[in-house]
Amino acid sequence: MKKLIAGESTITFEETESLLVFEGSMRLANMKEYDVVTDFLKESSETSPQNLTMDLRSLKFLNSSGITTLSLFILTCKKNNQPQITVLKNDNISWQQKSVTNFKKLWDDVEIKD
Amino acid sequence: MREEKPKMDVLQEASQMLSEPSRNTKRRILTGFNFVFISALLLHLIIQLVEFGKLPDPTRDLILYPFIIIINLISAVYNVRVLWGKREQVHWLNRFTAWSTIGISLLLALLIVHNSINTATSILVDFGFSVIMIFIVGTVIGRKAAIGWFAIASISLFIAYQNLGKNYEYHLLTLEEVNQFNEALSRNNPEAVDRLEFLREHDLAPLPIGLFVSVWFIFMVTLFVAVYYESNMISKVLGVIPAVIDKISIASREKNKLQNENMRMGLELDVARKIQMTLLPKKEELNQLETFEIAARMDPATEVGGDFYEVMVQDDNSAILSIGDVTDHGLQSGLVMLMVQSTLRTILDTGGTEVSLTDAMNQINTVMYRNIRNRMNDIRNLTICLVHIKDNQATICGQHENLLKYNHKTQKVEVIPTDDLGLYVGLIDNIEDYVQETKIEFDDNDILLLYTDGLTEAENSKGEFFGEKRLIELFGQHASESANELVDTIFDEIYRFTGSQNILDDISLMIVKNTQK
Repeated sequence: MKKLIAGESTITFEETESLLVFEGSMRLANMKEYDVVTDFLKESSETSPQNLTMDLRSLKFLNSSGITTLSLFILTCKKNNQPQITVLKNDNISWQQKSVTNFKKLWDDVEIKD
Repeated sequence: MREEKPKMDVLQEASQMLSEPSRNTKRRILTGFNFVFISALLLHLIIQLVEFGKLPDPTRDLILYPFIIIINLISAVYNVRVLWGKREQVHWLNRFTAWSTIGISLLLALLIVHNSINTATSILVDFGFSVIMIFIVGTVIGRKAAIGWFAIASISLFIAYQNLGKNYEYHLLTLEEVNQFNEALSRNNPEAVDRLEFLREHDLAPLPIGLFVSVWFIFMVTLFVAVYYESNMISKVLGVIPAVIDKISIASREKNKLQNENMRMGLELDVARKIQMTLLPKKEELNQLETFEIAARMDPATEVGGDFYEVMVQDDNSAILSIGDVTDHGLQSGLVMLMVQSTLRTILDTGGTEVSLTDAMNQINTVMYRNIRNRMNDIRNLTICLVHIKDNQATICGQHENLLKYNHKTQKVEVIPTDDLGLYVGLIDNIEDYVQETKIEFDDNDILLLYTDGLTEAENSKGEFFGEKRLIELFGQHASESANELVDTIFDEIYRFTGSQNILDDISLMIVKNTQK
């Protein structure tokens, strides 16, 4: 298990289950600060090249730089054509209502589950 | 999880380099003292046992002395390991070993003088111990501890003096007299035996000079060890000074660099703020329309975000409104905003009605993608919403926050989602598949409210967001106000909500009232 603490949020990567769990409120100040998140996601996708589940259900807030970071990650996976991404979302959280469906627009193979 | 040690800054390193010789000196003196002390006590016990076959004071020699030896042994082992780099130093152990060694020595010094087999010789010999200890305590612990020892030793000396009485005198014998006395003793001369008994009763038994010599020799070794390390320290401190100066100059360069960087960033923010505020439409531009009453306001965050809005009046007395938000902060976001605004006006300013909003949006995306990704090498993007208001209809295009409409007939606020009308602009080269338009009724006295996420995500000290629900309620309650009043009412309410909290993101709001009769 690997863990990244980013401000008031954490991302945990469970290698055995190819699962990324996002928790808390992610509001790093700018794109540069999101580099650590980008690197963490990249390493996780290299460890789990088949499929990867991103559990966003406990991520209460994500600012626009964070949304861009996740979007770019999806675009990178699309370019590499792997891993297959599944996103677990929570419709009670306002940023997710709006943004998570965009991930599917960016890459049609992304699977979104409630 | 791996925990990294916090990186020391250069000045901290320099200060550590300077204090290192002193810290190590203290440790060496303490350790030297521990070893001398342990050896002296062991020697004392061995001599007593070999010479006299018994210990003069079993309680002291079998309980106190082993205890003192253990304390000194703990200190010696810990400090030697630290000095050899075999273990990390621990603050509490540093203090514990210093204070326990010194404390136990003080206890011993007091016991020797006041619970001694020979108070008179104690004054001659054992206060030598206190003289040395004042120096060692001062070096190892500090000035205040040395004062403490000096005060206690002085009081103790005075008490010993009182106990002997001021009329007491030391009478020395020649070697001949000593030999005569010992000879008389060996002959069991009653007078000599009685005198020895009498002396013993007063704790004044004769002592061999060898004892004095060995005690003073131990004192000399102790003091020598302390002085040796102490004087060595000064040359060590002098030795590290060039390296320390190096570190200090690096620190000073880093500080200057940081100051320059801060100044540069401050200037960048000023420029960004200027770009942002200059490009927003002026109040009189908003008032150009006869049939729509428009008011808008943007309050930038401390670290300027990338909000913008635009009103483009068309020849047919309709208008195209836009509101948007560039990700991230600072100059780069300001630049992106500048480009969006130019592109918007190029495509939609006058004659904008000849282009569909969908086409306009796709063009904007292409221009922004090429400029941001290819030229700026950046990953910023934006959300943008275009609204064409004409007569009693509003055409909406582009994905952004929800739009709110106050329906004058039903007196209710309606939420118009824009999620299906587009995608982030400038992130991918083509968003044509996702861009759509929707048309809504916009009747007389209906009001449209456009905002950016800085508004709903304005946070109070409890970490709560202002939220869309609060905005909808407020909008409904104050729908009768003029567009300008409504903008001010909403901003006032936001600041009442956030209190003393800084706003973390730009807050933008546009109100459009359909006033055609």
